[in-house]
Amino acid sequence: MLSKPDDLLLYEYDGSVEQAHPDVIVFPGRKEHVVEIVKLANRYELPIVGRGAGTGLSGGAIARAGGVVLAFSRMNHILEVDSENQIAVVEPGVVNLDLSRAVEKYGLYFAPDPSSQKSCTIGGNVSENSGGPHTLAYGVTSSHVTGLELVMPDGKVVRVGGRTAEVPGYDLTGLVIGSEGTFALVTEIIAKLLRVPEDVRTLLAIYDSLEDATDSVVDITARGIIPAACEMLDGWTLRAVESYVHAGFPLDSAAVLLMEVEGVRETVEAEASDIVEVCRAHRAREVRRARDNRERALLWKGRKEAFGAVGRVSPSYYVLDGVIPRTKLTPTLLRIEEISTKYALVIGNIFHAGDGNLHPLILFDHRDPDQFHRARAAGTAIMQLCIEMGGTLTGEHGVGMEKNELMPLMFTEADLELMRKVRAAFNPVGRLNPGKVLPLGKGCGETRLQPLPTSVGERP
Amino acid sequence: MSHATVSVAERLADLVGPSRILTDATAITTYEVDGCRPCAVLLPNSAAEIAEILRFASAEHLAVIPVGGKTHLHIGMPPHRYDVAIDICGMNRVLAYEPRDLTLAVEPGITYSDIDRRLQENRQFLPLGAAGKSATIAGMVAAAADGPLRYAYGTCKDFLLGLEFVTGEGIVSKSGGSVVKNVTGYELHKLFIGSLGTLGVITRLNFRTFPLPLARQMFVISFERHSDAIVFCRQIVNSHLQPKILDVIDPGAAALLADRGAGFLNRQSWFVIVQASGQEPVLKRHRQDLASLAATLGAREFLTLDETQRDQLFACLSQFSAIAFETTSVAAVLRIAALPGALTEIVEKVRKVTDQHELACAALIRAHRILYLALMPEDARLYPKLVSCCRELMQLCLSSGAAAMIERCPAKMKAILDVWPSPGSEFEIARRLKGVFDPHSVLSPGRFRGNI
Amino acid sequence: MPAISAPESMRVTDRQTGFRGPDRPEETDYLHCIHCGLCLNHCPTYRLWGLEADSPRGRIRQIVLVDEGRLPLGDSFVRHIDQCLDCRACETACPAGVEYGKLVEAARTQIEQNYRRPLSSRIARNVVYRHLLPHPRRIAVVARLARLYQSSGLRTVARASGLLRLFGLADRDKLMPQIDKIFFFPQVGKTFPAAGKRRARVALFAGCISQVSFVALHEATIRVLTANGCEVVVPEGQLCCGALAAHAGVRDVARKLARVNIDAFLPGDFDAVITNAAGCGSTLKEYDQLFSKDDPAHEKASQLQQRMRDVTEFLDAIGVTAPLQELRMRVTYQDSCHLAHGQKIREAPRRLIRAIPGVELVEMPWSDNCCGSAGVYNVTQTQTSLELLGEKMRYARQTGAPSIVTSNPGCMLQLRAGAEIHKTGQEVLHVVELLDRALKGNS
Repeated sequence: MLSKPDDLLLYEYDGSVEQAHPDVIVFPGRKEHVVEIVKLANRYELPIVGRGAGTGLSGGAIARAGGVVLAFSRMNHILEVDSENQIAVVEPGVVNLDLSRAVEKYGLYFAPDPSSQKSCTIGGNVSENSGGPHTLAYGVTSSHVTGLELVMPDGKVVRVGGRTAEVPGYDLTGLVIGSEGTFALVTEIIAKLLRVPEDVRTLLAIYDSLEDATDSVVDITARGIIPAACEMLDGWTLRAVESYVHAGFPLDSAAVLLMEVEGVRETVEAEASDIVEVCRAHRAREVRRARDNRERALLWKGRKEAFGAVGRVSPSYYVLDGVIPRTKLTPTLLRIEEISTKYALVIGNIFHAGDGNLHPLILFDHRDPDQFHRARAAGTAIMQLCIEMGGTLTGEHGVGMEKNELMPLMFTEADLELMRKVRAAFNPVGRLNPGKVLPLGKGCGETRLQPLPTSVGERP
Repeated sequence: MSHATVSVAERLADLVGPSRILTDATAITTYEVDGCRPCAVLLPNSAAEIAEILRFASAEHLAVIPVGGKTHLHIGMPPHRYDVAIDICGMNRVLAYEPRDLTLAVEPGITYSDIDRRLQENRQFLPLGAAGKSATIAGMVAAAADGPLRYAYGTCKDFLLGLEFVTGEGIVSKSGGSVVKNVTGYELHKLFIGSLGTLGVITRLNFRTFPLPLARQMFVISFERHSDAIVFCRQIVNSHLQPKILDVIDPGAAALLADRGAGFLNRQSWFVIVQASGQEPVLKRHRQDLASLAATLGAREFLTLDETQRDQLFACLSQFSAIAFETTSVAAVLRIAALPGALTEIVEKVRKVTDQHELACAALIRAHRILYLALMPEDARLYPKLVSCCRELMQLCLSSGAAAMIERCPAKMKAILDVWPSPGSEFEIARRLKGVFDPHSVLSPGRFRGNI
Repeated sequence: MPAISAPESMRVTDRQTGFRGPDRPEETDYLHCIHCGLCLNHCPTYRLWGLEADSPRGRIRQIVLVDEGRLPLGDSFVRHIDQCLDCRACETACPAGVEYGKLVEAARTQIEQNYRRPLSSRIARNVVYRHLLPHPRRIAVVARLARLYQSSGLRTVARASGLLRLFGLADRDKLMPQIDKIFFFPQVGKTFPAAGKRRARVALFAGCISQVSFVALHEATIRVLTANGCEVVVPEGQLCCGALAAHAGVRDVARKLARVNIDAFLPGDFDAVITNAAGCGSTLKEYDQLFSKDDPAHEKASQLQQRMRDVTEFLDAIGVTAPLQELRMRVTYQDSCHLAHGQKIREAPRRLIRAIPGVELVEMPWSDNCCGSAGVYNVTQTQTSLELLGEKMRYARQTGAPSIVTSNPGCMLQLRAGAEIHKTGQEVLHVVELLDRALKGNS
């Protein structure tokens, strides 16, 4: 347990731009500890916040209202691996990549692969319903977790879901996954494991126009192919990444598509050929194939470390997480450029081209408060833009405390009230991770936003 | 039975107009749920109308059940009360379809087959199986319908992007969105899957669509013994092959389906049905690998189906539950979710029980995980055996750690046997959630697990 | 690395910062940290304790907080910075290229300058860093005493009687380097001719402690180099590389030693300056960081760095030409932190191992995670060091390899102790010692 001011300073932050000061940090080693801590927190009426590795990007692990932070870094054991049934039972602090490494020997792995998978925890993945490049074909975390053990805000232990794929009744597991730690604390996760595919092909298609890249993505699907991953990086980001990773990314292109197909050998060969054909038909300057694991790893390193590479050229950045229909990418990027000019900040773009999830990276210097405010404002403008385009506020990072005040852009007061009530069904006093997901209190000027009409002409 | 008075029916007529309310007894019969009949059936055209109906129902303490194609009404316990049926079949349009974005938005009453037809025009599909002609999409979602493609594509929760709905109190709301990836806000729409209309009336569904593969081929491999069939499946699962369908049927099911068009299934075997898709080299690889695996296990026959046969069998597999239930007047179908490693054992234990009760049965193992077991006693006098068999099977599943429910059975059986397993530690939350969406217990009261 | 600089108005002022004096963590260095947290699961101390304050991100944050005046340069700060192994595994994991090693060494220098340690600690540090390591003759004296303890019955008695265990020194005792009978010092100043055609003329860096307890390693190194056509010179006037001093924050001593070594190695105009100690190599390759740009030593240090090579790196580059006999061995390889993370060399030692006929290389899980040696960490943080060693030996044992190969004497020492404490029965040798065996054809 940590309560000295010097110690608490280290838990003010996570991977996002948010900060707040907790009152005490506790490190439960077992579920029983969690129950005791929750009961104690209740007695002293303290807010409770769960924390994994603190790599989140929406401030989910930040104690916005102070209180007790439960850091699950010591509940990091893989309790059981049932390779026959392709299940792993894990504690929340198990690192995502470590789980896949641990079951490698059975030819299995855990599919959700957020870019932070080297350090992020399964508990965090469950709370945020994390995605990753490979969730395009395989689905996000909620498709890979079949059961949970929860400690409710009143200290009761509840099990939802189970080992089997289906449990009669309401899908409470599906509801809790993605609830961003505001419903219950997760103390055990039953994860579904997939078989490592026989073969994989990684392709890099280089374009002189973003539109050609997007059109390629659409056409690839039209050929009946769902790539395992389909990522796009814009020219600016490519240059930032290449100077560090040396993956052979071109320095003078408008965009690249990094794609992967996985499966049976015959499938990947056929699909890879098709993809090359499609890309060429859409004027790809060049399409490269990774020749071996090393090249493949290098290409992915370039993608997964793109955020960090940007950190080399800027003291800070603000990464957004909007989603748009993927066919709307070109107009969206044009508008983002306008926003970039308006707020006088550089904005790079990484795009999960396969599912329309956009990660604009707004560069700024956090030491200059004016830049910080401009960055926030630019971020809000971009999120509003995503909704206008018929998309959504967040594809992977969650709402947290970063976007909660923007929820009224997507949901009516009735919608939010319903969500509040659902949360209250779990968390009646609002003790668990307060100030996240839903807007704080009415009457605040900022929250009087009206849901925006979508481009389809219908209410979202 | 209905408690509403005539004046209530009049006021209901005011809400939707006289042309969209049914009060005539013969018309209403088809809306029966487990022998309960409403006093009126309303046919609203919009979410706004539904909201008015439900607000009214809340104020008047009426019980409402949303009804679609009536293909899955048997599921769940009988409603405590049933005053009004809301027939959503009139709301059956495609609201938005962006094939290039892989997104589809539809009204609740559109049939699955209409959706399928529309998607096929763009070489896309929704992996829910070939439901009966009248099955509506909202009904299928509310009943958590699955299909043979579950093995590769998952279920509704994996491709339902969002919903709009009206709560029991008549509040219009929504959850999720219309894009393929989204974690904005709480995923309330997940609750609706399988909720049997107890949380709200669905007014719009947003789905992710999938591209049709270039080609596909279905193989049928027969085995003498169930254990070989299941081992065959396990070897496929442990291999690198990636079939889209992996179902197993027993001789009883084969006989049943043979009568329904899949005549190529000879009757004394266990059959494993595998579908592969992709380009020709992929199909060839699957064919070869499956054939050699089958040979090693002593399979009796290895059939490659043509398109017509494939479509027939696919439809049969999709509607197995319904087909089995209709064979006799006292049939029951159980849905048992088990772990792959436990399948052989469960099949054997189940067999023992059904043999003891001397009941004809048919079994389908879907996607190497879900066992659909149909009990089809030839005549009504065997009803007591049916009851006792079901009871014992539910008990057996409970002690084996399998999650089971009686999906369909004669209505009278529900008076003595709970079709749901008894709720666990999560029940309190489920109860509270029901209270959030439907505080006055207007919607399908009593049908859900735990008597909600 | 592009420099990120702030306008004058935003620089941290001296009034705020908790750092005083020269050699401080630079803002331009720590600004690169984007607190993404990808380093956490690669940090040995975070993996042990799960505490943010003992993670690279957390340590950098503490440095920032001290610089901003929000955290005092006090006990808490010192403890967390002391607990860092300086293994730099975080640098490998970091996507933003934060030079963590540089930051933590600067922080340690600040601590050395501004924090008052307990008396015993101050005395010990003073003695070791200022009065012992820079002086070869004194090292020799102390070594002889240690050898007396080790080879006479004293140690056996101390161990058997339980005295060591009583004083909690049992494990520390096992971590003590085994002192050789004959020291390496007499070889300094000699030249060893190449066998056959001379392909290169190289200098050998002999180190400090290595000269009294890893003499065999040096001899093997010389044999392997000469067998591969290198003339090996052991220049006079060389001293301890200063790594331990630099890592401990005693930067002025490190600087002095650097100047001496630069003058000892640069004039010879060697094709390469070779070390078999990854820990030394890493520091030698970063000598320029010790000097400000306007100091002439800075330029000379850069020149020296260009010639600096780890022995595995060098042999891999010129190619092994000496015939290698078959060794039927199953080995696993422990990446020395300062080779893998500090110098980014991973493949060269592996290629060398694989080049030996009959040798089977089995990869160890987390082979690039620190064994706990970390310079004098096994003395200053023995408990933690031993915990890490325990985990390391667990993975080593799993490989089923009777031999562990590595590329740093510090690692060898630690792993040998580990094999003994955990009774894994494994032998530990340097890559170059393995090559040496292959030259002779021992199995």
